[in-house]
This record gives sequence, structure tokens and C-alpha cells, in this order.
Amino acid sequence: MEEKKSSGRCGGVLPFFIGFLICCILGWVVIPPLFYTKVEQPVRFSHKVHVEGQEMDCDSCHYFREDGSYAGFPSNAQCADCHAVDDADSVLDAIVEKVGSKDKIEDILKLPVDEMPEGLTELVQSSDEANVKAELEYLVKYALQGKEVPWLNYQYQPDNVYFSHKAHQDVTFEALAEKHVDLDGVVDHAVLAEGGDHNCNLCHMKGIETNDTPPAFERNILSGYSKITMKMWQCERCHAQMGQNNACYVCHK
Amino acid sequence: MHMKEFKIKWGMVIDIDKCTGCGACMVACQVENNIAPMTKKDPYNYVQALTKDRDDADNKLRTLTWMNVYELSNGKSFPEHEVAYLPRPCMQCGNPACVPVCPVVATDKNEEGGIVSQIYPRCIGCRYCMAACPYHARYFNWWDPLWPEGMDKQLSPAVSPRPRGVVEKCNFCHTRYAKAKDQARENGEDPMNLAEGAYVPACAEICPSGAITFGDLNNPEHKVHELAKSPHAFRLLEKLGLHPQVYYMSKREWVRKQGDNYNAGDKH
Amino acid sequence: MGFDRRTFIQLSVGGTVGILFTPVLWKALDDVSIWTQNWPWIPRLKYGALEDQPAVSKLCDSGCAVKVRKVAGSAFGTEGNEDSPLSKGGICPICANAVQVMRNPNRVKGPMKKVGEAFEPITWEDAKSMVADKLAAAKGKVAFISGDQTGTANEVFSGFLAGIGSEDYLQMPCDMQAASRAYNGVMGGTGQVAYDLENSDFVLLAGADAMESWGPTVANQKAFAATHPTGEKPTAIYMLASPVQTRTASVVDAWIPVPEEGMATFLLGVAYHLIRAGKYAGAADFGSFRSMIMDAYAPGKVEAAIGVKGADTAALAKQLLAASDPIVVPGGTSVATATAAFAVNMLLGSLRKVSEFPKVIQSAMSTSERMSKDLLTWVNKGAAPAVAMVYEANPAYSLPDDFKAGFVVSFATEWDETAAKADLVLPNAFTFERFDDMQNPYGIGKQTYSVGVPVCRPTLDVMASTDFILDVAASMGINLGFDSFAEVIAAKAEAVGADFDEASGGQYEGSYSSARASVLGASVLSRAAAPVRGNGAVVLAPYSQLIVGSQNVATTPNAPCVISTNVLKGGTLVAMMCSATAKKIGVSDESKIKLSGGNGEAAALVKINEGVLPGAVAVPLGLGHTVGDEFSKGVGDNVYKILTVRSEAATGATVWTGSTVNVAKM
Repeated sequence: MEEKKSSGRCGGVLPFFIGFLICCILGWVVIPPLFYTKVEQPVRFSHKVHVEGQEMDCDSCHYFREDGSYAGFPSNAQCADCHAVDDADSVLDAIVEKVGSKDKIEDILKLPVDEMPEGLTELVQSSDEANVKAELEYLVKYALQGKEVPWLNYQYQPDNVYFSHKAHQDVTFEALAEKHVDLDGVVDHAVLAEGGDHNCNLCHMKGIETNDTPPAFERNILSGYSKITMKMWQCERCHAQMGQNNACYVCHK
Repeated sequence: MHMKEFKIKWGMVIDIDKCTGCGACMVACQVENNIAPMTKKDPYNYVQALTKDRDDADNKLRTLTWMNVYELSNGKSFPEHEVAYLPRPCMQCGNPACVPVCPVVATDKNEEGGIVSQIYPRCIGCRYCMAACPYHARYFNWWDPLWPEGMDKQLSPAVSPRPRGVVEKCNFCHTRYAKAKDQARENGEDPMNLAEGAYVPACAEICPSGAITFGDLNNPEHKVHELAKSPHAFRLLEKLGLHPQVYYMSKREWVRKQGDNYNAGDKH
Repeated sequence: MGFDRRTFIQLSVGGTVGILFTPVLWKALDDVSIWTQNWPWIPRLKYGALEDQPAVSKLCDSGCAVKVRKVAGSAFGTEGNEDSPLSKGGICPICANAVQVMRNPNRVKGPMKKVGEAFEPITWEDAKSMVADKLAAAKGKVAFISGDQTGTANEVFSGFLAGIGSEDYLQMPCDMQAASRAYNGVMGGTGQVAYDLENSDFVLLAGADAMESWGPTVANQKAFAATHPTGEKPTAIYMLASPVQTRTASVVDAWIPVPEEGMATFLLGVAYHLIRAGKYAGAADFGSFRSMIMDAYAPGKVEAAIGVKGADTAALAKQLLAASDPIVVPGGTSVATATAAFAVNMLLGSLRKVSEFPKVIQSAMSTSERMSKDLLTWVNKGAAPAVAMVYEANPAYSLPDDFKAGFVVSFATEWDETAAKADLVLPNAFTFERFDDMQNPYGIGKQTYSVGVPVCRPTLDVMASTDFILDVAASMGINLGFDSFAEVIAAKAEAVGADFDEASGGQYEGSYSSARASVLGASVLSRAAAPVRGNGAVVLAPYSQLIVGSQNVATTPNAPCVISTNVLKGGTLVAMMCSATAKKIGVSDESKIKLSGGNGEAAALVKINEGVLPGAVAVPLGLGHTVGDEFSKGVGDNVYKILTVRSEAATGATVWTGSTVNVAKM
């Protein structure tokens, strides 16, 4: 008994600290990424090609509608301004002829480009191989079949949240600086320091507007929300400091 | 008790003498607010043989009728009998009885406009608020909302669907208010000074007999401002002092009397 | 140092404390709590651009002008169409639920033919050849039953019917038919009687439940609302004469209890005072009309016949005389009542009409021709066509008597009693999925035309019945002049002079003209106006509420929780009667009774309502479907089946006013 006690006394704290350390490492470094699974966007949409290559403005696709609501993701109808599909049925028929069945239309994408029906390939506007692939994917899976692209929203908010882009369009970097708002943990310091004309970066991913391959959507495996879904306290902190109301119905529905 | 005052006070004046009780408002309300039809069977219940069926609409204690039309009778015999219909949304009380009893602040009256909010994810379903509300304007989701197959293909984008176990109520179609403010901003107008008709709840909009007038009670340019002061105007259970933002009108004295729950022989 | 129990405990405690110093637990708790807010069976919403598309909703009898509300191109609801004279922003409770009806799983999902007792799917091509063969073999013994009162679709069908050599185009019994037969038949006029409620300062609703189920209810309610501005003095007086205090009665300025079967007598009793006051009508039979009224409709005689006091009719007549623009509006399927009402309107100088719009299919029937044939008379004469086609109607449910046919084709959009009985079910495209129109809905005060274009893409294998018939006609070599109904509609819109485009439909508003009838119908009224009652214990006073449904449309998905417990309670229909009646037949509140009469019986719960005429029992129509979805099937009993059909003297119209039932306690 005596001996055991003494041996315990001298090394007694060590296992505790080892356990503490291991779990700290697990908890800070190893486990957190396991909360998220990476999901790719349904179509590899390149902002770079559209913005730099085609010199499109942000508001060609992301704009306020006449009723003050915000068109975040473009619909097929908007894409059709450039990627028009005049006779979807005949292209689809040609594809079906090639793949043999109506249910296997997407199999056409497995074929080399030069084996695809001409009606399809002539719709492609890119020349770069990777971009051709992305464009074909969009055409076959969505545009031709008249389905809307189920874009993943990095800033996903659940149905019980009402967010008005219109109400936030005048939140400028100057206004934030003027009110000395402390947005620690809400907005990246770098974004605030940099400033600029477009306030989108306050909430949206920085640099997405020039991205070639869209970053993966990090989906929380428990809640299903995006990793960067803004939490209620973040909305509230900015509202409070900007002198805005934090009443429940300001944001909820 | 201290009553919060708001610059804008959305309110209704319901002319009982014009309500025919057709029920279009109740249907429009359900469509706007994603209230599912009452179905007996639950396709997600895999042990249906062992469980009871869900309630159907026969059980009026279990239906969700944010807007509910009541039938009033003057209680007289033929041929002196008269009938009237009284649509009852949430009264959006100035001094709501439901708010202070909520243990989790899932309901509050704190937004400009004076609409009593109800936040479904926050509600724990204790139903204290239902017990407190003298107007029976609050409803509990006894069952999950289940639409017959295909009917939920497209729901109204205005209101989040509520699961079983939470309380819900009329909120004057609050998302329409938010949308009206966005529209005003888009038009370069002041969202805090909406014109009459810019924001109208679904029930008032659809009412074929124009019984419901909606607007800002504090805004002299809105019709309700004057109508609420009419000698024929009254509020339900006014003596409780909850200061509802919903007013009623009737030229019939018996209707006005029933509005304040006079017992026979009662002297105010 | 070995790894003993103590080390393990120390390691675990250290680990536990350590994990508490990391965000893992708190994050997991937070995420789990969010997870509990998003059960997989709670639907997620879809977002996108909101838009409203004008359309016509032909679910209710008169039809509503609506706007279909869509998000990201997908419909989720309806709202009123401010620009339409039929809507002015309002819609009826049936059409308020139209999108949910469109998405109802009870829709017929594709063409079906009956094999034995069950249905099997067939292709549209096979259906076309099958119908063409059956029609060819029928050699003209073909009937077409239509529940559509206003559509140009009737021109396609009646033109086609003429092409195969049949005249049996039959309209479901309706108030419009009674009015048409009174004005165009008995009284020798031409056109459709119009009721300019908007500009009338005195409206007597003689049995017309105008704010609930008669005519264009929404337009009626809007006219009432306009003349009764909230918070101001009303500019018109509305009165309702009816056996039951219906919903219309809750808002009118006065309710006059009058039995349904006594409505013609009541109106002629009013005419007595008008003639006494010197009113005159320029009709060939005014002399005989006058002497008939003076002989048979003096106040004492009216009171004896229907219990309405002479003082009351005199006071009413006085108000009619004092009004600058009074109008009497008849309700029900009795031609005598309609004739009597029009006669009173002629005495008051306020009988008006709207002219029919020109036909675009020349071989088709005009509206008044369509209305002239009585369906139930035809049925009860023992008609047995080889083929019967049924469009926008549910005769197997809503006719008191059964009809027989060798081969029944139903164009139902949803499964109903007629579809279940049919040999071939050819689902019509839903009202938002097809071209359709509404010409002068009966009851409207001025010429009105509304066209709807398809605003929703069909998700089922359905086809507009008009296009189907046009195809069959072409295959049988019958030339109707058009290849598709879209062309018919375009031609109609042009003929009407409507402002129309293929994307958003269109409308036209005209005016009324004063009506000219050659006779007041004295010879008919002298035989037909007297009240006729059955021999049962109590008179039935059936009433309709749109929330319960119509002749054709069953209770809609969101309607059941709106239906009052005074209509339906615990799945049993409610029979309302005043305490005097209850005492007489020995029942009280909540008594369970059985009503038997006509071709059946109905179970009911008694509800004392002092707003029901003594001796009458008020029962709701539209319940008791035997086929359909859970919102209507097996809910209450079908009152149509306890009505007693009789042929009205002199007019030959089929009526069920004065139907009586016997009451037994259960």
C-alpha cells in the first residue's frame, strides 16, 4: 500500500496531462474538420471565365428584382441569354439515339467529345478542355432537360430566416468604420481592413468572384447547414452595433 | 403594466356587417402560411397498425385556424333571430397576455409595427401562451404537417413549415410586411411609411366582401385610423385591457355587446 | 511505471477535462439542437422569383378570375385579379384552394378504360379510336352532359354532337337554366337576364343566396361591398327572401322568411301591390296577368298559401316603388319563380339583359339553346343513349335520379362518382393547364368575357377535352373549322372584341341593354306559381356553401377545417331547424335522426337554429361523396339523393322545391 501510494504521488499528474493534451489536440485539430463533409457544386461554374474572360458584371446574374427581392443564383432563363438552347428536343433525341435510352441521357458525358452528337457540341462555347466538360455537364444535366441547377448556397440560411439583401445593400465599409463596430468573429479582419466598393464580402466568401473552380460546399454532417452559415449571434452583433432593431421578426418567418 | 408604444401599429378593422362567413379568408390563410390539410394517415409512420390515426378536421380542437370565423346569434326565436359572422385573427394585443408567460421568449412584441412574433424553432411547446390568450388565437401542432402526396411540391415561400410540438398563430402575414418594405426600398420610398395597400395580409386581400380593412392605426392616411374611432367600432373583450390592434365594427348593438362578453344582466 | 487502473482513471479525467477545453462538445450540442429543428419529413421551401399569372379558375359554378401565384415558375396559390370585373381582387373559397386541388393525388393520372370492375390505362390514341368507334356505332344515339355554364368548350361539344346527328346536349340543372327558360321560353325574350347589382339601390334576393352560392358570388359580394362602404352610409338596401338564414342573410338589411316552393307566390304577392300602385308593363298579356294577380294573389290569399303577412309584402312593395333602381333576383331551378321575378322587374321597369356573344362554331348551339333542354325530364322519360359523354359535371352524384347509358365517357379531372361509373375516363387538363373562357357568367350585370391560357404545365398524362373532341371530330370527318381549342379561343376572343394574347389571356367588358319580353307569362304562372309540397313530415330546405363544395367539385383539401359544426359534426351532416319544428317532430339539439325521402335517406344531427322557417329542415348540399379523396369521401350524407323530383306544372321544369322528408329518431 505504502509503495503504491508513493509511486502514484510522483507520476500521478502526468497521465492527467497526457489525457488533457491528447483531447485538446483531438478537440481543436482533429475532430472539428470531421463535422463537415465537402460537397462539390453541381456544375463547375467558373467565375473567372465569365468575369475576366467574358467581362460580365456581377449584376448580370446577381441583381435586385423589381419587387426588391434578390436574384442570388441565376436561373436557366438567365443563362440562356448566352447559353441558349433553341431546340432542346431535337438535341435530346440525338442524345437518346446515341445512348439508347431516355433514362441514360447523362451517359453521353462519358463519351469522348468527338463522339457526341453535333447538335450538342455546337452549343458549347468554351475551347479549354476542362471548361468544355463543365459546359457539357450543364447543358446535358440541366439546360436541355429544363431542370434548374440546384446550386449550393455557401451562406445557406434555414427557412425560418428572412434575409433581405435590399435592407443590407447600403451597409458600406465607411459606415461600419464610422460607427466603430467590432465585428470580431463576424467578419474577417482582412475584409474590413481592405474595404472596397462592394460590400458583398462582408458576408460572402472573399475572392469567389474570380474563382475558376468553385470551392467545395462544407456541409455540417449533423445540421446540414453550411460551414459558413452565419449564426444568429453574428447577425445580432452587427445589428446591435449599427443601431438596428434585433426584434425576432426582423429576421424570422 | 407598461405598454410598449410603436410608431407604426398595424391593425385591422373588420366590418362584421359585411362578413358573409364564406371562409375564403381561412383558406387563403392556410395556403399563404403553409398549414397542411388534416390527413388521417401518416406515410412516415411505419407502425401504423399499432398507432391511432391522426386527427382529421372534424376535431376542431386540433385544427390550425390562424384565422377563424365564428358564428354569432342574437339568441332570439324565429322570426326575430339574427346571425352574424366574426372572423378572428390574432389580435396583436398592445399588451399581450401571451408574451410575459413564455418561459423561453419564443413570442415577443418588439418590432416596429406591433405584430406579436412567434419563433417556431425556439418554442418548446409548453402552451402557457395558449392558456393565457383569451381569444384562442394560438394553436398547437398536435401533429406533423403532412401534405397529401405531391401537394407540397410547391409551398408558399413566405412561412417556414412548423413541426409537431410547437405553437403557432396569425402574424398578419408578416413576410408580406418584410416584402413590402423591400419593395419600398427598391422604389426609393421610405419603408417606415408604407402607403395604404402596400402591405395587406392574405385574408384581407382575398375577402370578396371587403369586410377586412387593414393598415397602420397610427397613420392618419390609412383608412383604419379613422375607422377604429367610429362609434360602431369595438374590440373583443375590451375590459381585459389587452388593447388589441384588431377592431370590429357593427351597427347591430347585439353584436357589439357580445364582443365584450356581457353576461345576461351584467352592467359593464 | 505501468499502465494501471489509476493511470487509466487519471488519463480519462485528464481527457474529459481536456475535451471540455475544446469546442467539440459545445459545437456538437449546438449542431444537434439545429438537427432537431429540421426533421426530414418537414418539407423545405423553394425560393425564386415570385410572379402572378392571370388565369380563369372554373372550379366553382360561375368561375373565378384569379391570378396564379408562382415561385420560381411553380404554382403554390391563387389570389384575386384586381383587373377583372368578376374578381376585383376577391375569389371564392373553392378557387382559393385551386392549386391544392390541382396537386391533389385524387387527380386522374391518365386515360383509363374499364375492364370488368377495374380500370386499366390506355393511350390517348387508343382512346380516340375507341370513342370514334363507339360514336359511329351509336348512330346518333349520343348524349352530352355539360356542367360548364360559360365556356366556349360547349360550342365545340355541341357542334360535334350536331355533326354526329344528335341534339341531346344537356346542361346540368342550374339557376341559369331556369332563368333562360323563363325569359327566352315563357316570356319570348332573347338573351340572358342581367342583374346590375352594382348600380341598384334596392336588391330583393328572392331565394338567390347571392353572397354564398348563387351566380357570380364574388362579383355579387363586391357589388354589395361597394354599396356598403365600411364606416359610411350604405347606398343600397339588400333583402333576402328564403326559408333559411343563409350566410347572405347575415349581412342583408332584412331577411324575409319565405318557403322555397312559395317564392313565385310571394313575388306575385308583391306584384299585387305594384299593380295596385299603378305599375304597368308593356306586355301582350298584361291584362290577363293583372286579373290573375288581382284574383289569386291578394294579400290574404298569399298569407294563407305561404304564411307571409300582407303587411310585409305591402311594405316591401313600397320600398321597391320608392327605390330609383330596384331589382328582384330569383334563385333556384323553378321556371315559375324566375318568370314571376322577371314579371316584377318588368313592372318596375328594371328588367335587363346581356346579349350572347357571337358563336365561332356555326353548327354549335347558342347558350339559350343549350339551356332549353331539361336533363332530368330527359332522364325520367327513360332516355337510354348508346353513348353519353360527361364534361365538368358529376351527374352520378348530384342528380337526384340516376341516368342510364350504354357507354359512359367521363372527362373528369379528379376521380368522382361519375368517373368511377364510366366506361372510359379521359382526364381533362386542369383549369390552369388548358385554354378556357367564361362568357357572361349568369347573374352578372353586364357583358363580360374572360379568357384564360394555360399557366401551369401538366404533370400528369392529361389532355384538354376540347382538343380531344376536335381530334375525334377530325378523325370522323366532322369539320368544326378548327384544329385546336387554342384556335377556337383566339377566334372567340376576336369575335367578342376582347383584348387577348396567348401569354396572359384577356378580357372584355360590355354593357347591358334593357330587356324586352313579349309576355309576362300569365298563362304559365296561373298554373305554375302555386306552392306544391310533398306529404312528408317536414319540408327540406337544402342550401349550398362553396366551402363544402359545388355540384361538380367536392370539398377541397384545406376546406374541412373551415366547415362549420353547424354544417357537419363528427362526420355527420347537421340538420338545422327552429325550436318549433323540433318540438313538433319530437327532437332536440344533438338528436340523431334519419331523413328519408326521394331515392334515399340521410343520417343527421339536429341543431336548433331559429333562423329556419318553421316546418322546414335546412340541410347542406355537397356532402356524402362515395368516391374521392379523404376530404370528401364518406363525409356526411348526400342530400341530393333525398330530394323529390317533380315536374313543374305548365313549365315542365324539373324542380325539387317543396321536397319533404320523414324524420325518424336513431
